[in-house]
Amino acid sequence: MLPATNKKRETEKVWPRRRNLFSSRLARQVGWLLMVGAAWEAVARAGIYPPILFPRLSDVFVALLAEVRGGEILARTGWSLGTISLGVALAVTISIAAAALALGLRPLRSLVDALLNVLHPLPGIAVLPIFLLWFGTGAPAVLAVVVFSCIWPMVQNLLAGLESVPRTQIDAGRNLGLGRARLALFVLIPASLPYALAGLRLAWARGWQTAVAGEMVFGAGGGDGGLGWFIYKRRFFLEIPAVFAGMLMIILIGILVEHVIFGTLEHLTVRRWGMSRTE
Amino acid sequence: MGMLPDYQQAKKTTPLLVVNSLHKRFPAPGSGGDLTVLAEVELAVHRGEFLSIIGRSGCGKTTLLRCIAGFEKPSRGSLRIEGREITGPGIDRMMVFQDTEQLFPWLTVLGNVEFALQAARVPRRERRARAVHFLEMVGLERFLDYYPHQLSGGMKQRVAIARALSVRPRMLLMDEPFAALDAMTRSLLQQELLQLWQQTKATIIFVTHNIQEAIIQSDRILVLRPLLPAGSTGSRDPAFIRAAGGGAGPVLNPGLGSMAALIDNPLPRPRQPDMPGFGVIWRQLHRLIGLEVGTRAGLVAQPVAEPAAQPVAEAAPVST
Repeated sequence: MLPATNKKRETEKVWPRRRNLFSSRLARQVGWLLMVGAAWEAVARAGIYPPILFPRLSDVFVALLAEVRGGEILARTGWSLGTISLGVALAVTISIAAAALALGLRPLRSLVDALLNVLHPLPGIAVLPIFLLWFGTGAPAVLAVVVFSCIWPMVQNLLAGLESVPRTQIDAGRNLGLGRARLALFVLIPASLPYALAGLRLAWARGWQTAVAGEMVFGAGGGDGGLGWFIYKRRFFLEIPAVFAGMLMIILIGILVEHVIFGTLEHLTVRRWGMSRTE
Repeated sequence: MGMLPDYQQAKKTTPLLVVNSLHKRFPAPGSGGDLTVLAEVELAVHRGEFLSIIGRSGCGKTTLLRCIAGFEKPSRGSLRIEGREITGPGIDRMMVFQDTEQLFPWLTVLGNVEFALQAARVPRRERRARAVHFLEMVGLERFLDYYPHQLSGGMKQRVAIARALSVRPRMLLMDEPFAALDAMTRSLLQQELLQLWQQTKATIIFVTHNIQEAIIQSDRILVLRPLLPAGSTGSRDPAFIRAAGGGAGPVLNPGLGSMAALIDNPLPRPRQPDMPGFGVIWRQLHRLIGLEVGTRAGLVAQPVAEPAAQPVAEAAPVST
């Protein structure tokens, strides 16, 4: 049934998988970090600066260990993560609704654009004072600020993603008789996933920044509060190694989320499908 | 071993597709006026026919195909498939695009075809076997689990053809599907498409700007020309009409419409560029398209010197 020439096409090339690149790049980065760490330790030991302002790196690790054992830093981290996760989840829900409305109803598109242009440049922390009045002190205000700062990058990326869907893929979907709902569900959403993931990444990063900053401006009532509040309190008592330990915790969480959660998510989806723009 | 196209018999029955007095205008950017891309297109396509649409870029080939596909609404006139007015896209007219991005990158080769079958409401149990069957027809049975980005351009177009054929459309609409491919892959895919056409008895409308491709593949060739600017006397000029209709040359459409000519291609299949009669049609099309210096698309015709296999041209290609 098949022509003889069909045999030939099996030799056509398929993309090779590159594995060593990541591990060698990682090794190089770790090497650099070790050198920077060693330099820090050497400068601190040289006694040029007062140890209260510039502690040894080793003391920072000792403090981190002590805080982990004592349990406070973990509780604070958990509190921050809870706030940010909830904030990002709310922001994503609102953003999807906004993008869907903008897509479904043309006049709303310009409304969303207008809000985006006006409110996107406003840092979340700038609205904290007024949010404290509206939502009350402590957790609710910080949560509201996190939601506010996450929504705009998310909405912007969702809309950009929807606009970037290749015309031919939309036509191919319409050719199959897909209506608006099925076209959105089966074509527009998967096709704009790279942008949605980029938006989620950005939202998460902004959420962290805003939450930590917000907790410092106004920590929390009673025994509550996140990593920002932790750092602020330790600085108040001049426990500088513990201040650095708090920062180290933020870095560790950041790396974990970036490489483990977002990295895995990307490898399972857009990288596997060859849709990633950063490959 | 019927090598003669079935459409010769089908011609006696009602046509599959009838295009009546089709005009298509788009709003012209800036000026506020309209830009007419297609005018006075009259066409009847029969079951099993392989029709090519050829012409210079910008003469409305793709627009005509997109009107048939239902992506564009006609500004005037009508398009009917099996007597029903075409109101929008549908799986009875499957399009294969030039763009290799037409596959869904998040679905595998098999997934892309199965998705089409799902959209066509084929029962779940039958989908897989049918998808595999059509992918075997294009020789991709070993690549079922590959993602589109792992395939070459030619393989992607094969998947697109398999996906389009799998829903058993009334007609296959192909918009320069091989234009982005290298010459060797292109020629290979042309041969395969002809085999698929004969196996499936599909009706194909194929847009191309490649004269040789059009002659090798099609039963009939529709030559489109760019429309003259509004207000120009153009072909109404008696001299033009005399030149167009005079002598022993092909009879052209002297009107103002988009159709320069609709010619039959009687060459026996399989066709090669060096076979007798090929050159005659090639030169005729070359001239009709307006590729010769000093001519205007389809308006000035020189008599054809060779007496061999003179194709019949139709001035008013409306089927009766």
